[in-house]
Amino acid sequence: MAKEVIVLIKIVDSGLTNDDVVGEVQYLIEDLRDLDGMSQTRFYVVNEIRDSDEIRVGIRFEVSSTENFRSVIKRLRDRLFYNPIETRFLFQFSDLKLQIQTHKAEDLIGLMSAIQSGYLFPPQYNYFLEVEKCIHTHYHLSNVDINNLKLIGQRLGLTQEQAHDLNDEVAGKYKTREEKHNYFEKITFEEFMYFRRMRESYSFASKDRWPMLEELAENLGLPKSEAELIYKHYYKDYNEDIKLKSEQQLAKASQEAESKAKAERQKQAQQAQEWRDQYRSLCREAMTSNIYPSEYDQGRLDQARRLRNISVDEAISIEVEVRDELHGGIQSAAGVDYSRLRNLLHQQAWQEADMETEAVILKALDRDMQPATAATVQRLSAVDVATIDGLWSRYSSGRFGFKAQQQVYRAQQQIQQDDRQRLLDFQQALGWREAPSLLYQGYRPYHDLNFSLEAPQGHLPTWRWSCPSLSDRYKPSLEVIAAVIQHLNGCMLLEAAATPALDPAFPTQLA
Amino acid sequence: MEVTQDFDLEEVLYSGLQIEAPLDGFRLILRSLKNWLGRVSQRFLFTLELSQSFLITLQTNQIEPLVQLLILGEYLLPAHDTYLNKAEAYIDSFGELTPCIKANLNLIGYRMKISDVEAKNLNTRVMEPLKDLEEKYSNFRQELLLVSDEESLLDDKFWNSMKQRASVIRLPEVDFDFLMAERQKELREEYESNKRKIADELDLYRKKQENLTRYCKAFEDLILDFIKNDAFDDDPLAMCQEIIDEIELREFGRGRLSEIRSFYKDIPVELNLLEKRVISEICLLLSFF
Repeated sequence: MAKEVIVLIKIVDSGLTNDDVVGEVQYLIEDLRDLDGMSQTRFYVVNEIRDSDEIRVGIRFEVSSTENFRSVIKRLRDRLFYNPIETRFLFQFSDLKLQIQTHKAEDLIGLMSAIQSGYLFPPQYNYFLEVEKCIHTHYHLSNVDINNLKLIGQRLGLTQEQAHDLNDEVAGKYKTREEKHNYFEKITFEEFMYFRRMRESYSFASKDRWPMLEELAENLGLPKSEAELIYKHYYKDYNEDIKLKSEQQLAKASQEAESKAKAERQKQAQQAQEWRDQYRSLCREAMTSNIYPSEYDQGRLDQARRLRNISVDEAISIEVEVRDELHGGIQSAAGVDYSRLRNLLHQQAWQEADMETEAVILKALDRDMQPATAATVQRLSAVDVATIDGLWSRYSSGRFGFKAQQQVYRAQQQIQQDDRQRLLDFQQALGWREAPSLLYQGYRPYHDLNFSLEAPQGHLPTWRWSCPSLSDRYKPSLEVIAAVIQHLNGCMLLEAAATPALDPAFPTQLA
Repeated sequence: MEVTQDFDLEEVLYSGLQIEAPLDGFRLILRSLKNWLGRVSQRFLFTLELSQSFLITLQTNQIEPLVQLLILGEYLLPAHDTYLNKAEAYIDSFGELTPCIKANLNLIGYRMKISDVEAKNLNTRVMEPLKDLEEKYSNFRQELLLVSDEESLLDDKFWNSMKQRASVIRLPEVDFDFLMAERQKELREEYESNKRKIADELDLYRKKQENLTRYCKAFEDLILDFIKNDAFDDDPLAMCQEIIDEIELREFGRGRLSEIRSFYKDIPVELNLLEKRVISEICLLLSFF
């Protein structure tokens, strides 16, 4: 200790009488003088006027060695421990003054430790300042610093161990700048990881983490700019993560809203579909045995349509669909109404149906009741052919209709190679012609044909629509028959059958 | 921070300042003073009062004595109290010991020569009674949930009492505000949900009523389609029966009537009574013309 420490001790306990105070001061002087190295110390008495008497209240003295100073403080602490009287201590280390007023022994322990460390006084104190300067400049002790400090330590008379301890004390727990950097980065990473985990577990208020990390940088002795760079890096990652999660949540919410709206739309569509199905079911119920609903059922359907908000057009369309499904479709490419034909067939009125067939075919061919020819029959659309065939076939359970006739022709093809004869045999197979004899060609009058389900397969409908006259016999021309068969093969879905050759010289009627 | 003034006749001069800082701020303040003193050349008197017992004064224009002051001051500071003081300050701001806070406390503990075991005990002590922020949140949320009375939750008095509770469990103010906002939001959502539930019930009731109205309307349309001008009778019941008979007499009408009744078969009222009421109303209306 280069300079002296001036010590002033004053008893300030108000519970003591003047005599007690004087006695305590006396004991104090004796006690301190008793210490090793203190016998030569000069103690100055501090007086004070109390109750008009000047009495001794304290002492003042100087200590010139750290060892003595430590002994003095230890003795003062022990005195307070055994006799805790309120005392004011004043220590002056050059410009620094420390005042302690206490009756507790432990209040002197801090000072004792400070003295014990030796840092308060030269030479440790001078060395301490040098280390501080280095750390302040470079944020750590570089090799150059350590070498310089070694020399300074030697010059100040410090042992290597003392110098090393002081280096450690000032540099702190993390000595090098790299250690500080790595530690700061590790903690920053852990900090953000901690919040990531927290965020997954529960929602919480967000707080600015930088002040705390800035404090860490300060505590570590890491430059703020360096710490800030590390922080910004991790903060950016963390923020992007949060942003992504928040976007995902928003997208999920919007998806849910969309699904909800979709479900609502589906529900409405389902309701409308349910009502249409109910109406369709009612239609089916009303038209199972009749092509057209009875008046009672019409009433029900009309009311059902109103109650289920089904438009008139849609109701008609459903009815038509159900009717077609139950009783056969009546589609026409030529705009012909086949409903009468369907009614007649439904009633099994075969002859009337045959006559109606003639009427609808001629109408479809726009022949104005002129018989169809081989050339014009080709104009009958496939849709109309299918409709007529479908109706005849449905109500005769496949016995009548164009397809049945086509099948008969197919059978003839297997057994008769001659085209002309095949056509004649075809008419015979259909029951349109009887076996000819010498004087009888076999053609029957129209009214002699069989208008019942007992008729041969393909017997109906007749092709009277191609006959110029029925007054004598029902006798379609072979040319027309060939043309019709060819046309049917083009329209119907039966396997393609060989069509008879059409020779212009071919007689249209048998002689 | 207070400014102390010297009075010099006419002028008022600022001659110094007084700061009251927590124990853990000691080092930071001295470091700042050191930096500041490095830039000026005047001589200053520094007075430090560390608790009631310690008073340090220093008059200097040099940096070095301040280092001495720092060394001495740190030895005089009560280590545990300083550590606890710092830890409590952290808890008050952040609610728990995060890795960064633990690292800071660890460095403080190292400087104050507090052992790891002691530091651990102090950390546990400062976090009591709840171990981390999650537990504080969970505890506080549960307490908020216990109060289901909506009016209480909107009352300032209630929130003031909860704020006191938050300070008891060392829940930072920002977290308290967050949880308060969260609960109030939940409350609003519950309120909205209840409102929706009531609206749904009303909607159901409205639909039932609408069904009744639709039934009446359908029936009314049917009647208007079938009513005859000469059908008026003084006896509404008889007239009602006549109209129904007329409808039933005609197949189309019978079909419509049957469909209406079948479509609304779930209506929980006596259809006959409803039909009679509709007919009576129509008759009453028509009787004015």
